[in-house]
Amino acid sequence: MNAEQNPLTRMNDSLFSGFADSDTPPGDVPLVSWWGQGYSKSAMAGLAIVLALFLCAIFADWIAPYSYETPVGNSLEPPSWKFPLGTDPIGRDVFSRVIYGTRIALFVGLGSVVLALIVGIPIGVCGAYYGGWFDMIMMRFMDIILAFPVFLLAILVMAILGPSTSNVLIALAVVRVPIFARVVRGTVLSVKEMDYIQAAKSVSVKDGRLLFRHVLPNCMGPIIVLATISIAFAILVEASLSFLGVGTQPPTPSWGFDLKQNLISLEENASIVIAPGIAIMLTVLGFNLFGDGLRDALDPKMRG
Amino acid sequence: MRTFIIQRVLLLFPTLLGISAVVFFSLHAIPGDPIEIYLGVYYDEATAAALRSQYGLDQPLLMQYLWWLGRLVKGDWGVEVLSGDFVFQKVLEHGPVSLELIVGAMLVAILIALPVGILSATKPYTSTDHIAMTGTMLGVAIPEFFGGILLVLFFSLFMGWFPVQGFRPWSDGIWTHLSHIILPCFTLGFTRASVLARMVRSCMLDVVNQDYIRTCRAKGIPEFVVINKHALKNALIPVVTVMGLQVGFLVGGTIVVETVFSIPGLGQYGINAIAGRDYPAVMGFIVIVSSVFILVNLAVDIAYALLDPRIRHER
Repeated sequence: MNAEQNPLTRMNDSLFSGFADSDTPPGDVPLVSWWGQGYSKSAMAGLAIVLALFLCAIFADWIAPYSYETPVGNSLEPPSWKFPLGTDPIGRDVFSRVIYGTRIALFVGLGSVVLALIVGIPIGVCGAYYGGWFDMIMMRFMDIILAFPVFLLAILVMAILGPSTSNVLIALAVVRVPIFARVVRGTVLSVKEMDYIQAAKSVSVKDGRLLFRHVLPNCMGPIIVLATISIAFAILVEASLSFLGVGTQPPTPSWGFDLKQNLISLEENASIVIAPGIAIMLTVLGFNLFGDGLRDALDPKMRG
Repeated sequence: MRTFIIQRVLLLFPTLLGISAVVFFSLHAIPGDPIEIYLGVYYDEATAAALRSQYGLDQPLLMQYLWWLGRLVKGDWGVEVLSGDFVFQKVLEHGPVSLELIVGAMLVAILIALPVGILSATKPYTSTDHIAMTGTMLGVAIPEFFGGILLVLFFSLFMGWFPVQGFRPWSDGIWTHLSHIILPCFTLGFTRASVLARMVRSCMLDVVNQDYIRTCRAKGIPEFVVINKHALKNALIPVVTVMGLQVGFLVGGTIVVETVFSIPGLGQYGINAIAGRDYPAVMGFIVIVSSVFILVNLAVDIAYALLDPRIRHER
């Protein structure tokens, strides 16, 4: 189970990052390069969706006509000018809940990835840089976590912590840490063999400075791509967990939970079931497209 | 080759041990006592203590773990705290339903992914390719429960071809059974097909540009044979490795899809067990599912080594 030599594990690593069209190699590609590479239409579409989501989340109070908590009409009203998508079984405006739902989705998506990065990067960097027993123990531990099917592990963590939005965030971070740690480790391992690191060492640059000024910045490409796609993944899993009732709890507006709750009116008014579903789909699509675009731009192997 | 297989099989045991330990100890860290939930308003110290010693819940945690592990190996997975049924028996009862879903979904995924992936790769950057890849991008973005609901809306409510939900055993007739299982299989299969199709496409594209394919063409072998025989064989090697991972995702997907379609599979069983804080049932559920997942991955690893001589000779 040697990660460097086993092509299986190498492949798995890249697979976790979404569509493994190629291994993302490390390289000293400046971050801004993707602006200069001409625009990929799908990546720009992804960026547009992502920006729209952030605007929705920030200006939800202005965009949404009603509150997400209090009933404003009768139960299960059909779509009308007053309620663009109709009302849910409790009489709340579905459109407003979908708009406010972007906050929850982005909170869980960004939060879990940031948390996973905060834990995963040090493990990966220290493991790769210092090696030895710490690396050995950490990687075996990560292997055990990776041996669980992802969704099952998330459910297990939710069972332990209890259902709530912030616990979903933690569960998703737990699931993601081993993947970040391994990708970071792999990238640092190859970057630290580069000539410019040897050069920096030969002029006796201190360890800390070497790591933060020379090693880490050159590992950022794969990490950023993986992080972007992980956001999409986290939003998808949050919706699934909430759909099962072990995630976000009412009255917090979670798309997954709303979809489940509105299912009873599938035959009369499908729009209140489809609207949260479309919201999830667009969000995941946006982050995936943007992530793929980033990979194409940051990965010199894919270019040309 | 033999050493490789033996190595992998031996590695199985520490992994399984690690998993069981993680599950056992983390579940016992949960606040909330199953006996308390079980007794509810009838809770009193004496009954609770008697029940605790009956289920061994008053022993030290490490002893409980070893005790549980020993019985696990012997096939005695304990009884559900809430109903008193044997966990092992329940798992055997619910397992086949989920297994059927997973196998069906995998079939759907492969049957869709291969043609789509090959077609895309043989006509790269054409409109066929763009349409196919846009489809797969959407397929990945749609959560399983939403995909299932869309299928129900169209095929059950609008067309009236399939029942909306529920499950019937084989004994009720083959069609009755199949009509209840087709939509769930397709729901699960579509998502996986999208991931696989992209994988098939990119692996195919790698292979098609190799020298030996040019040799094949130069020899005058028909294009159809070149693609589907010579190229496909080599392109599928990396795809096989992805299969194992897909099974992991299918396991998660079945839990959701069983909920959407009210199918009494292992996923439903597990979710109910978690809701009831039924330790033996939850542990049985997670241990069986992760073990199957690990075994499938082992099988895939071995198949990979058998298919690709380069890996075999590295060891």
